[in-house]
Amino acid sequence: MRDHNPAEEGGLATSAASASDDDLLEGIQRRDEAALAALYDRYGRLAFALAFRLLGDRGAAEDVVQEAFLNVWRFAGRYQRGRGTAQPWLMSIVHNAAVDRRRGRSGRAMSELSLDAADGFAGWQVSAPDDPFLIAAQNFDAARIRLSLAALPGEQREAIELAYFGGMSHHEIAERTGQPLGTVKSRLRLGLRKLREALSERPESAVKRDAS
Amino acid sequence: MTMNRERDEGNPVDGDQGATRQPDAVTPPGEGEPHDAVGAYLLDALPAEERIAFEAHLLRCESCRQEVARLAPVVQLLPRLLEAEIAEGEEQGPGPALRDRILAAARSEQRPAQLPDTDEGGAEMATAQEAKEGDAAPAQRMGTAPRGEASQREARERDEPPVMPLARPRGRIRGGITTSAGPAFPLPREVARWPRPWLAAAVLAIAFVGAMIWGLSLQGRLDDKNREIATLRLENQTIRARANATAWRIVPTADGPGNAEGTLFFSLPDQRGVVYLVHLPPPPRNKVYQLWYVENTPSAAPVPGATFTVDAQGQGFAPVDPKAPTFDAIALTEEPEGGSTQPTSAVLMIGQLAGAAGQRADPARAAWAFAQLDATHQ
Repeated sequence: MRDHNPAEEGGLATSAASASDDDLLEGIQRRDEAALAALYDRYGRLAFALAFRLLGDRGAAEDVVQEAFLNVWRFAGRYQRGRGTAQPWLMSIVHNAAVDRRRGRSGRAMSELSLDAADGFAGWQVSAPDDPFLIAAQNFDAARIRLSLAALPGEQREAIELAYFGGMSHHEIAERTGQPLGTVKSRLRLGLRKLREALSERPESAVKRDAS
Repeated sequence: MTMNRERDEGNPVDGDQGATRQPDAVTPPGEGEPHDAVGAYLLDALPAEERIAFEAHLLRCESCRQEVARLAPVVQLLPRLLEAEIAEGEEQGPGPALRDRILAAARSEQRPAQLPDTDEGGAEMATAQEAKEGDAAPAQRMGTAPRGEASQREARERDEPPVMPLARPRGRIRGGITTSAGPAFPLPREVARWPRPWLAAAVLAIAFVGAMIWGLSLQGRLDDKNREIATLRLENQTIRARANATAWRIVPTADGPGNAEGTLFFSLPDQRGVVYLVHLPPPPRNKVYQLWYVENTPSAAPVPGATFTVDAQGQGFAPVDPKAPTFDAIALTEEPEGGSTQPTSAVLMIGQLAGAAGQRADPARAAWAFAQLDATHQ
């Protein structure tokens, strides 16, 4: 590991492992490789898992992860701090890159617009920092998310899974499911709305619902 | 503020307040085209040209922006489904060499776009991406090296007092500005020497914003079927803007509305520019917003620009002087109706022009902004 950047002002210390994501991104913006390494150690496995799920090929998945972390290295200054972890932002970059690769557009540099999407807020950065869902969502674990996904009507869940984990375009989904394009779009939209509803339910009522 | 959306969505369980920064916008979520694409958009299920079209739609559809704000956090949760599988050891990880490859590649990359260090005279600004594309128009480099170098030399010779520490910004400021008590980076000296106190704080606040420009369009996407955006009836202007529209970002200062944002679009062939601002509150009675063109030399007074106000959606469009790219920055203040010859209030928003390479604008966005300007000013 290289020496710490002398321009640092009490930022990223030797305890990179305990630094917050905000600190790591700030360090990355200052070209501190240790910060980039720490971010990789924190999220690299999940990034790879997502890329591999979409691409089914280890080499391609590694390429995508590399591209994603390089984009983080380049665009760390674009990351909005104070919003919790960098996981959503990073996974969005990975997902975007993996989908592009799957559709035959590899090695393309990120655009600002893609970065906005990676930020979770497309186009003009609409954001709602006071949205209680955002805060609650930080604590949702995989089990809760899976339960909520299972609560969706089957066709909505399938469409979302084909889109997100299959990396399919809505045209591909339409072809695959034999449904009109408008129906697919609708299912994706309604499915996400329903998923938010389901996730917002209190755990007790979710358990009751599944038990019945 | 409670929104009609709650009723429309039939979503009593949710309990959120239709998180919006537009308290007086009561648009229900649109049904049917083109709003239906929002789900596909957020799941990356739109092909490139449809994504561009939807993003252009977002510029004009408040209810879709709100829906994006509501549903994006849901999509963000999906990767977590894989965490359980990783924990159970079902997913194999990447090889150990990947980490080294990433770090090695990072090491070899250029510096990201940022203001010049004190020791580099008027350094050329370039993002790694711009370097890749290597096709920045000459106008984008206007006002960088020559002016920068001169000012810096002057500044060093003058041995002026130390700079103001960075004030703690209120609200959000984009692009990696530290909110700690002191600056995290060495302050660019040329910025530090700006004489007007009202401007100095604002500029310092912006000094650490990387020169990432909103609205960049990729090489590949410019070659995509832009004609498909004809549904927006911008075909003529799209073709015109496609030639060379450059975009610079405008961001709020510590005194400005934290949620506001904006872009300066400049069309080189047309030699005209437009500032598009959003999430600006309406100015107080008898006041307007005014643009200023700012030069980074000690004796230069800001040059007054257009005055304008915002519409019901908090959007503002203002014409921009053809000479705008020759200035170092564009600034926004509140002034009495009719405008002022010199700023009389704090800078609310600022867009760095010099030293921040303008990036090629998305032609759809640029064309739309020009169209809106023409519509509001005729």
